[in-house]
Amino acid sequence: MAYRVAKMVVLATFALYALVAINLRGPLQDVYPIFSWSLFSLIPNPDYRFTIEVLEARGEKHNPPLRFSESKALFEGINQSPTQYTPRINRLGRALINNNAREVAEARAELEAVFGEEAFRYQVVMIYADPVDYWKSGSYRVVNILEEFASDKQP
Amino acid sequence: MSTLLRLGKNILSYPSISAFAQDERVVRVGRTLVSYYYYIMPYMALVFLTSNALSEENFEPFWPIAWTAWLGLDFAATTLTIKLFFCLVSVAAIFWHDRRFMRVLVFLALWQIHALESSFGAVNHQWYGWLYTSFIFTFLPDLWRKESFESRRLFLFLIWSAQASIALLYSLAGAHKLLAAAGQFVLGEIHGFSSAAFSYLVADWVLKLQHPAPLAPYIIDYPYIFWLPFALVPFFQLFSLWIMVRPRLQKLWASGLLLLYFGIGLTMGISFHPLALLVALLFFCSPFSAPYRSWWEFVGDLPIIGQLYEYLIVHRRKST
Repeated sequence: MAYRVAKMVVLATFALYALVAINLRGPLQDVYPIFSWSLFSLIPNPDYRFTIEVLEARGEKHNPPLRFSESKALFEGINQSPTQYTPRINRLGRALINNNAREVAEARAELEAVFGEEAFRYQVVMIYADPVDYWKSGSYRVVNILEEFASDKQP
Repeated sequence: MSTLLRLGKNILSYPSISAFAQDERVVRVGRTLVSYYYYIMPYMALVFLTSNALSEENFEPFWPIAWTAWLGLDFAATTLTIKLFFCLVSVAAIFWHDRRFMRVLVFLALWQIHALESSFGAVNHQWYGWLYTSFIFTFLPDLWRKESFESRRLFLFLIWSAQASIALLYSLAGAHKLLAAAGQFVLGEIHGFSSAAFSYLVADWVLKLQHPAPLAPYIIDYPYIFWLPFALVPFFQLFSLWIMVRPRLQKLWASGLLLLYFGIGLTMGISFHPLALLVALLFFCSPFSAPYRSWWEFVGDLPIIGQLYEYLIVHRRKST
């Protein structure tokens, strides 16, 4: 491969990569193998957001419900970070708000896969949270409980 | 006008690879860098072997490993095959990385193991840099057996390209941060340059990740103490590509990026160690890096500041 050809190919590839990556916003941040590299870009403001609260998982009932932000132990069995499930929870919340049954079913299947064959009962809630207040006080304001679900694998 | 044009041309002129190709030391260091890259590959295999015992429940094979389904391999067989392949190839690469077929095998093995890691709901971004570098290195000419000016030039250019592929990622990260800050500023939200920004970012991520982060409580309580370094990060990242046209800055820039990773680890509990290791390797062992003879040379290389400095010198020379 001639040097000049390599130079043109490499520079054109970089330009294309930059063009695609800078236009990737929101939840869709990958066009494999291109990533947007938008990491820690948006500052999380006090806002409405979706979360889940676990009522029953891994054979244990939770009363009061276990907050998603305190549920790390549930994910340790599968060596995953709860963060990876945040987009799935958002998808489920949006689908519920939009009454999109197909989307709800898909988002539930994705989310519930984490618990495999075990019983899993949870509620999807819309909250209003200020990250700093939440960190300091450990509480958020529940605006609305959207729906309660139990996985298909109930005993 | 001619001064500005000259400065513009100066900014865009990246280091002459042809000149570097005539320097025996540069070529030797380039070869060493490539060797180091393959010497640490078994360590990366070890990272993959020991990091995760991912569960079968969430396994959704990513398309680069779709062949495992066609062959009827189950989860355990898929994992074992790919991990074993990467282990064997990474060890073999220590001895035979001077052969193109070996470098192609390393790329394939890395591609497969990255796809395996990305088959659990989300693509693993940490390894993209390794993938890009391995891919670029498959095109390296056979400088170990047959040297010519042309092959030296291509060899060094491909090393430059591997470095630039990593620098580009950081520049994109910086660009996204600046765009997001501008967008949030327009909306009247807390944005990347607000005094409280760091505390909001840290609080949100520590809650999301549920990881311990030793400095998080201090950042959340006293964000203004760390405001300046936090506000400078997007600019520092944005100008990462600059080190590809001013390569003497590479070691300093790489040190800054490593500091950034330490900072992220201490404040948010997130580790980027595969990418940090690659940055250290590519830029601390860079064949293009050379020491500065004076502070003025260093200042002249800095983005914006250096150009202003250069402009002032040219302007003064013209006026005398």
